[in-house]
Amino acid sequence: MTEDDIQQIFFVECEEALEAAETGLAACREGTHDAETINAIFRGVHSVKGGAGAFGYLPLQAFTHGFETLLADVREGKVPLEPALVDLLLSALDCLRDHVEAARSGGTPPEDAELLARLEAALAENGGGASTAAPEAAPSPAFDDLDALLDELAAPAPSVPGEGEDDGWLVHIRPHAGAMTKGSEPLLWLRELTDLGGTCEACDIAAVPTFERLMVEQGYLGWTFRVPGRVSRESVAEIFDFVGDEVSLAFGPDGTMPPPRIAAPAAPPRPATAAGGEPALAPRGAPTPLHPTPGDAAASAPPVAAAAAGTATHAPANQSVRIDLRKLDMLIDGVGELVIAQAMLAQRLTNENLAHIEELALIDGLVRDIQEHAMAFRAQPISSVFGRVPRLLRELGASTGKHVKLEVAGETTELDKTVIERLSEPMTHLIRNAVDHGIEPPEERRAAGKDPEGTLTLSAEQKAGRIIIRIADDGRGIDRERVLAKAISQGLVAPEEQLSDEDIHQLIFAPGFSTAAQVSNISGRGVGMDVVKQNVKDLGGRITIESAPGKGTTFSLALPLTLAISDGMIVQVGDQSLVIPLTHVIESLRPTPADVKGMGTAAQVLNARGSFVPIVPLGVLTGAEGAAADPCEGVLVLVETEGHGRAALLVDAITDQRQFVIKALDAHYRQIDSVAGATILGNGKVALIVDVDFIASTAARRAAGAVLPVAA
Amino acid sequence: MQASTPAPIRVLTVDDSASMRALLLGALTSRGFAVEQCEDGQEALEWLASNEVDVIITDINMPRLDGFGLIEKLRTSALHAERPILVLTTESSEEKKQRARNAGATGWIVKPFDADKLTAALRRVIH
Repeated sequence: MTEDDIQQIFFVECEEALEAAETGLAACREGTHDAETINAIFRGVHSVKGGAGAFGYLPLQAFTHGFETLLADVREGKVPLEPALVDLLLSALDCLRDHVEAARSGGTPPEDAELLARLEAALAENGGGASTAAPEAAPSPAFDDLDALLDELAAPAPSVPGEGEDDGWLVHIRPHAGAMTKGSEPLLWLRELTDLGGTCEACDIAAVPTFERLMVEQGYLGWTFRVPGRVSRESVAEIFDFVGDEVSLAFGPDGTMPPPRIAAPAAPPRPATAAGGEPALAPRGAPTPLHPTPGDAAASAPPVAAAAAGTATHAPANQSVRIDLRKLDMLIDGVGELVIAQAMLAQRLTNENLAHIEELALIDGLVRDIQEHAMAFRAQPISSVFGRVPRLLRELGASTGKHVKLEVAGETTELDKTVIERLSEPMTHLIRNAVDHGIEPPEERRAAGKDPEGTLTLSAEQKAGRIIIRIADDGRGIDRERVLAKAISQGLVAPEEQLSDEDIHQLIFAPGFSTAAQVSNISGRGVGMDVVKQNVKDLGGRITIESAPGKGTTFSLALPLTLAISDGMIVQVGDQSLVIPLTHVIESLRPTPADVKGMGTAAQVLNARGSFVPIVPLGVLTGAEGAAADPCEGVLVLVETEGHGRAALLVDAITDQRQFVIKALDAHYRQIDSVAGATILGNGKVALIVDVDFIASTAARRAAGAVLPVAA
Repeated sequence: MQASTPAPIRVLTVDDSASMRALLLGALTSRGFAVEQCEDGQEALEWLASNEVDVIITDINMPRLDGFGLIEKLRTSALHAERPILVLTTESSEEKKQRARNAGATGWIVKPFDADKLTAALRRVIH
């Protein structure tokens, strides 16, 4: 694993941490202030900080430090969590997100001085801030027990002027019981002293009891070491720094060996008391009982420690394994092949009259299970998309003055990772649109007797093999008359055309469509609604709109569960089988001669309920022999494309409808116009997948060329 | 010390951050340690119930069971009562360090860590 890979893990982790913090803060906003919620926010920010330090993203680290310091005080109840503070924390989280993004992309970190100042002010207001001192980008040695010491060891020991250069100086060391019960090994300290050049002058064994009274974890021994003068007292003290009170030190020739602190052996020897034959070392609780004269710190410690154990929550484990996406896709491709191989085997056995053997049914079931599970690997909950919406609404609220409540349902619904990734942009646009155009300003809503605060409802559900995502607002609804008038004035529809409500709604997806009021600094930027529709279409999905004047508008996105497998219609053209992707297919029909009009020499059009659609005989394109040339003898498959209108594909027959795995043709052969790829059918034969977009655009161009002379 | 022993030193790292785990794994494996990893205190506790290592490195802030809790529980177990346990954390306050001491930690290292220094720290606490 390279440094880059680890950084990628870090950024994935940041995403998760930011989402957790966002969820927590959203809950706080709703009034949930329990310890676990606040702790989750803290942990999110804290984990970003840890990685930021490790990877050297200093601006990110500095910002998270300020953020975390405030959160720490919130967590400890030093700073009350008022609504204004939640808002500040949310702003800080937004800024943190930008910081992470800057670190990821190598961009300029956001301007955070003002926000940091506000965080600090919030801290100071409440008497906190004692620990805000400095970010740990440059940790002060005093904090850094082992670090500092090891630095010290690595560097040549500094000489201390004034000490006896020849004789060195003395240090007396007396470890107590506590040191031994915490995994320290006094022998290692002594070795370290030796490494510094020290020599053992004396060992105090006066306190060692008789063997039967000896308790292994007690500190009976004390040592006196002579350390060379060039070694500083600090560097020796640091060896023992972390051990704290558990070892007594005395320096210099005047220092005397500190007395041992040995637990009164009043209790009977431990091995005898250990119930149930437990080992002697087993019952080892808080260190306090071993101290006859506990220090203040030790005395106050157990309750604190107990509290720490108490706050540890026991949420169910989210056990997961991270897998490289490429490896996963290889597995899923393999499963696709397996499905095909299984179908081939079934076909072969059927030919041998063995279709009913039990083993085949068993394999069939297993393969289907494996396929389902493999698909599930790529599935992710849609909450990762929904989770970004609160921030979007806050930003929109700030720029439009419309405060919008968010209601979310079905956020655990899972769909393909690629779909999730590509869904974010169209959804963002639809939400901007809903807030900008759908939801009225507060005054207008009040006048209409509505809650001045608008509501945006996001929901996701799985239905009939598709995922349905709804984005609903309770705003003013689509003004159909205005949309229609605008479309007519832009020449998108003829004035006399009769359009259903749904047709009118769909007009807002037409390229270039906009009503004057639609241009604003929010919705005016970047993608238009036509791009939204294209994005959804690219994912194999469809958008439908429901809108009621004064009540609101609902956009419904119907998306496939996965991109790895598509639904296709298998058609016969001459001696070839071809696959037409089902997302393009509107209907299929057997035309009567009256439905077909000749146009020029070779071109024919289909009169499909009043609109003329160019007929494309697929047999001509593939050069298949024996393909139907007369539309009335074959079947027309009416297909629709986003940019190039409709076309009627002439085939001999429709033979099947099934799922297929797309194989790129250029990897095995070369790129061919009119062909989107290939797949392997159940009988083991390769079938080409028709590139409907290309065929429709070619047909549209040819039809336009043919129409002109007629019109002239 | 034990650097010359043929069997590699076994280290358990406990950290809820995947990137930190990856960093530790890389740093320690390349320096000849045998590394085991757990994602939080609870997992570590369960793993340690039936496994042994030479030294444990733990984070403090973790879900389910934090570092303090992990150390306390290990110190009451027969198997790990004397196990060297290093705390590796971004926290650096004296108060937190005192809590770690009281819980029974052997040493304290502040993140971001320097791999060589971490290695030296491990070697100095291993019995």
